[in-house]
Amino acid sequence: MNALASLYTSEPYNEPDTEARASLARIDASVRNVGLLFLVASVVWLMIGTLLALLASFTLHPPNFIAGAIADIEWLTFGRVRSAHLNAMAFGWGNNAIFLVAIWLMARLSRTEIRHQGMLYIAAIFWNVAVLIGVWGILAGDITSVEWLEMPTYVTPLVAFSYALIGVWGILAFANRQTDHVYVSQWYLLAAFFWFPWLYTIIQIMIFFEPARGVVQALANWWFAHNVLGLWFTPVGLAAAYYFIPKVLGRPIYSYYLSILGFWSLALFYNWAGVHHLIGGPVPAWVISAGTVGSVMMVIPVVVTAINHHMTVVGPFRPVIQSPTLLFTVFGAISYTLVSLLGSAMALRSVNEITHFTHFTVGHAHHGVYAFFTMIMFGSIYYILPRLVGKEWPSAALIRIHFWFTALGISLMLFALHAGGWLQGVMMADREEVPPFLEIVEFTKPWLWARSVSGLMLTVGHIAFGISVFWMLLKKPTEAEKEQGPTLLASPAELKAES
Amino acid sequence: MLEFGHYIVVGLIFSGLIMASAVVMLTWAVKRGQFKNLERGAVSIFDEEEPLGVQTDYFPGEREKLAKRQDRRPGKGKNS
Repeated sequence: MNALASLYTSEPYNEPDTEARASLARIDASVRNVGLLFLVASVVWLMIGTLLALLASFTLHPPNFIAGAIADIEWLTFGRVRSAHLNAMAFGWGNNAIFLVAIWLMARLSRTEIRHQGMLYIAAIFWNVAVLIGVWGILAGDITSVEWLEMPTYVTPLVAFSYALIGVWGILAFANRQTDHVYVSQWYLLAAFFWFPWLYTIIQIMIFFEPARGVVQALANWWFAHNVLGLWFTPVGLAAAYYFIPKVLGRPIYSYYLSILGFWSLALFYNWAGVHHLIGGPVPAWVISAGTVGSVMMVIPVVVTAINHHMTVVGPFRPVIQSPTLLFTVFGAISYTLVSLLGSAMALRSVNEITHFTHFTVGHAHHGVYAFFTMIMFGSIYYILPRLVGKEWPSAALIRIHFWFTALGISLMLFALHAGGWLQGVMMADREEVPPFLEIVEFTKPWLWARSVSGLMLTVGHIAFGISVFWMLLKKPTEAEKEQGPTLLASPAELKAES
Repeated sequence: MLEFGHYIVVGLIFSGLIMASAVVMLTWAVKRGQFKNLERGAVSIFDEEEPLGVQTDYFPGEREKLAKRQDRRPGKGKNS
């Protein structure tokens, strides 16, 4: 551990007239150890999830060498690999990134060093063990066949326990805060921490432990799955965007009032939207209509947030291209607006008639979890990690490769799946003369090819990111970094004074 | 398994609790003056160390480049 310790500058930066600087540095330093644990876990899961994604994507179109040549390996069949991918990404990459970002943001926003790290360490270990067992279980065939809950129920207690630790930590951290104002990001984070255990507990009961009957289970399933997106991933993504956009730019949020309006309207409307996954299903029409209404009402918080972010950023464009965090975060914020507006449209029965059960839905899902949530998490990590370890990112080129390959890759994926999916849906919905189903399937193959290519682009981006992260963690700090933290935290005047 | 009617009651209790929690938090926020000075709220993330008007994130090596450029063109500071 001593050898490792020398890799990090743990002293608060030595700055003459700034006691405030020492306190921010101390706050960041207090998050370091547990933050790095979550960070490394998230990057490892990102790689595993990416590999599983490639397996799932390539097996759907020729040469489908995976199913073909190694045909009888059950572990590599689409059903299992696809679900393993979802869980590895959502609960492995996504949740570990969330915990890192949420803990750091809570520390910064509470303006105090974090305490009770023990709970977080235990939670980190239990969480990752649970997801590892869960993903392994899916591949081994213990998959539950319930969307977003594919991990076998033997990991449920582990997940619930580690989550409970983090939830309790969140309450304690908030109670401990040294600020009197509760910034909007903190509202989003605390709300997410409050909502998730409710969602998880209820759904485990209603589907596995005391199962509800018939269609009610389906309703509960999609209530849960959509709320994982809307009341867990989305609030954390927005919390990050609301913090990092103004922070990097040095400009406050355009309209703080709008941000509060956005938060409360999201809290009011989002929960209703889940039913839009069952439009056309054997569910009472009024329930579906309620889901549609909730989904469309979401336009309010989404537009409010879009206006806010846009007006905050608009002006000189320079800072956006000068900052890795802003590049990723602004991309993510724009994607949030687009995916949400598309989602509201998809919740209309007439649109849903085309898009349901097509690749359009898959594209929409990746629009949300990747183009919005994951890109914002990347941006957040680019801001947080240097402050945790007191070192600068090793290579601007790697960061640019990461950004361009992921931005272009996800754009290609979204284009392919939305276009292909829409056309697929139009064909299937044709009331005059439905083409033979197999013909429609053949039609989708080039689009799936494009999706696989986009997956390769994303893989390149992720590898660049992984290299950046581990290089950064393992490289020795330079003399300058040891003295005053990475140069990105020094003002231009200080830099000139040195040179 | 509970009877149908019991589910409604359980549902109403829990949904009532959740709605109540939202009302409680909103009231708490109003009482604590969280909505009073919104300008103050917006700038609460800035302080002496990371003040308003200062960009706080750059690509690695970008700041040195900018500092040198500022040197060559006095008075045309990019990020003051």
